[in-house]
Amino acid sequence: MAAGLVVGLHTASPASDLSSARFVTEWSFDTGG
Amino acid sequence: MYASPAVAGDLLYLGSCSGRIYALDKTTGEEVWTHDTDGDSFHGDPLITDSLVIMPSDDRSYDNSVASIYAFERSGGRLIWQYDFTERTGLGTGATTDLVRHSNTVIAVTTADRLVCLDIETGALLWDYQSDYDPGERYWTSTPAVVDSAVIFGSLDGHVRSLHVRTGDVLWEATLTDRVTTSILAVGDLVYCGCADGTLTTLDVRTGRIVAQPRLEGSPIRAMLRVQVGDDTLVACVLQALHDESMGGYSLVAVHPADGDIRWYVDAEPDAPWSIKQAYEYQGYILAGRSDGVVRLLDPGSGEVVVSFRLGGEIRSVGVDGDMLYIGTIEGTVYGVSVSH
Repeated sequence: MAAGLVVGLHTASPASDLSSARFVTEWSFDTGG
Repeated sequence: MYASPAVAGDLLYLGSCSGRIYALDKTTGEEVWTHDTDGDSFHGDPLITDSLVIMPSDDRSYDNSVASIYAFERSGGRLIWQYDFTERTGLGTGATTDLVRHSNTVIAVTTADRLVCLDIETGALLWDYQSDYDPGERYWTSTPAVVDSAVIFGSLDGHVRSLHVRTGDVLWEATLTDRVTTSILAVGDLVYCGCADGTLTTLDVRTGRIVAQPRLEGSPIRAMLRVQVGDDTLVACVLQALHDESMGGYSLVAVHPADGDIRWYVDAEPDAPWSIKQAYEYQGYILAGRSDGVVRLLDPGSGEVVVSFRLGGEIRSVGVDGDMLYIGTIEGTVYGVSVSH
């Protein structure tokens, strides 16, 4: 079993349709760099 | 910000290029605790355990300062242990790779291309392995992977090695055609890595036998992502122009590792390269970002752009928690972005 890396995407059919989803910036934070 | 934001419980952990680690309320973005390393910089992704957040730092000030792997108490930020690096290279000191865990050990690669394995509870060095890399060079080292009881280490001296995770003994060694430029991607019995000369090598994880080694038109860089399309296992990665030492990638591709066939590609704009640390997965889509702040979600089968939006700054790293995205920029701003259907 591999560990340590994100190796997902086991399907070419995304679980949900995001084409009409809304992406909203709820907050931002400045780390200074 | 280069390191990917990481969520555990109610907190979001950030390691900044300016040397601070932050724990934020993941819902509001309010600071819960912070720690200033006074001169270090964070580039590798953190490792979260049940009680600790562990972060690798590096220092490129070229003075006699040290860099460290730090382990903080998750809830309150108390420093539990610190492992110091003092070796000096053309890229400073410390570790810029992501951290990898195996059981009670944590593994990283230093700027000198030294693989280190530490006790996760104490930070004590258990074993290390130094590649034959010339420390005068200025290249970024690559994140290893753990497969069963082996650490797979792709190095700047142009080798992939398998080392026993308990002892550090070399189990096999494969010679590649150039220095390794990507993290090791492990899928089943195979491991993949890219090299500076554009080769994408597939190896048998048990023996180190090279299964395939097509050459692409650009160098695969940073971390690669597995994309399964039907029976085909593809590798999604950012390509950088050969011999280009900048941080930008000109194309995001999904490639068949057996023959190098490009299944799809999405080119960046000439003045706005792919600046993302790696292609990320978000709810079955591939997420990537550019230096002009554009964030895109791509269909993994076709590369079709499904979603595109823009933030301020150069997009570098992403964390995912449920429907929330946490997107970091080189300028240091982190955005908490909600997704509603």
